[in-house]
Amino acid sequence: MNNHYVVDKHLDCKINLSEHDAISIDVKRDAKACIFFKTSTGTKSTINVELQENAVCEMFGFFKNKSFDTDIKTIVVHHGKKSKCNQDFRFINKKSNTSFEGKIVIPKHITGCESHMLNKNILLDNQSDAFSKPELEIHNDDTICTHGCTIGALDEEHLFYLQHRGLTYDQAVEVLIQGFTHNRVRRFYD
Amino acid sequence: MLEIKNLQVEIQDKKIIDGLDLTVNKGEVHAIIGTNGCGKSTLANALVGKNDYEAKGTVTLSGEDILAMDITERAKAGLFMSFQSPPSIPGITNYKLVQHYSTEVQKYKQDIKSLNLLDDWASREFNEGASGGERKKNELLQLLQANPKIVILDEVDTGLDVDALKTVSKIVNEYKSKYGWIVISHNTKVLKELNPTFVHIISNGKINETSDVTLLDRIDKQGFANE
Repeated sequence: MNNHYVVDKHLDCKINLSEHDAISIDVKRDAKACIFFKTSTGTKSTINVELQENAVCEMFGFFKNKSFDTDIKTIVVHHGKKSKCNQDFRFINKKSNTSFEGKIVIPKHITGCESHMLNKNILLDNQSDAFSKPELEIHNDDTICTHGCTIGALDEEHLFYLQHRGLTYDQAVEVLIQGFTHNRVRRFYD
Repeated sequence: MLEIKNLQVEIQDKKIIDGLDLTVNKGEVHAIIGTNGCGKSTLANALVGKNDYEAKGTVTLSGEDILAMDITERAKAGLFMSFQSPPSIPGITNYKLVQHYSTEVQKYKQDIKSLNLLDDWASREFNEGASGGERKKNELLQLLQANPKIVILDEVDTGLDVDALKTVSKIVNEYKSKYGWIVISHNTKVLKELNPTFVHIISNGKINETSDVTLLDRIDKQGFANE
């Protein structure tokens, strides 16, 4: 499905991605968007974000994949000066494969922009995979830009600790998953 | 209460504990001391059932076979270890974790005060942003709620300043008669503060020598060798 959002002032919404979605979000001058993504079926989706001057976009994705795959591509283009974007996509995979490709474009004369991208993955078994690819096209120095990625299993020491404190293995896993999805930083949005 | 007979522990096919015997009764403080790498922490981790620790021999707690239990069952049977380096775990608050043993809120609040922890400790995320000393105090706070049979303090002094150490020894002395204690350290000064009933020297994976607190003075003077 194609979904096109034009944000003139303010958008705060949740999007449940279906199998094939193409989302485009056009954030106009001085407007703000905050979007939470999830999927209950698995998805292969593209999210295009276009930011005009002083526009703000925050995107949070949390995907708990159990026996289905998730493939997300984001393309964020800063068309206007002083536009800001924050992306935070987290995946927990059980018998699942995920791919996250995030692209940030800041053209030559578009100064004063800020763009952040974070992708974190937990693999709960040996049958799961995670792929992560950041792509940053930054054409001027007057920019704040960060990206980060983690892929790993749950911390064995933490599991041991929680079990020793009387939690069953499954309860300990649940606590660590809660912790993994926690601490999302809303950088720009009140 | 806790009986360990001919305990043998292997980690990745390497034998660390080899034929260790120890009996701990309620009200006794057993100090375990020895050189680095002699197997002190291995003993603690093997007792509480850490994965990859292959333990053989007999360990019973009030007659129950501990080695046949998993980590959670051992904890519920009454084994409590204060960790050498307690982790910080986001996603669960300090109080929420304690609720697995006890829902006595008033006691929890009082214990937070007596340990000089921050007023909002209960609602903070588990050890997040906490100093080494606060983490060790949090272990004791959990101990007091868990009310176990056997307490294992693994390297109790790591990360503690003088004041925090005083708090720890105050707690051990106050609750001495309620539990059986195994206190692991390589610091004789710290162990003296805790006034142990027995002092054991571990070397080559077994208890080499057992005596009373005077053994600590001898170790201070001549080291671990008995000549």
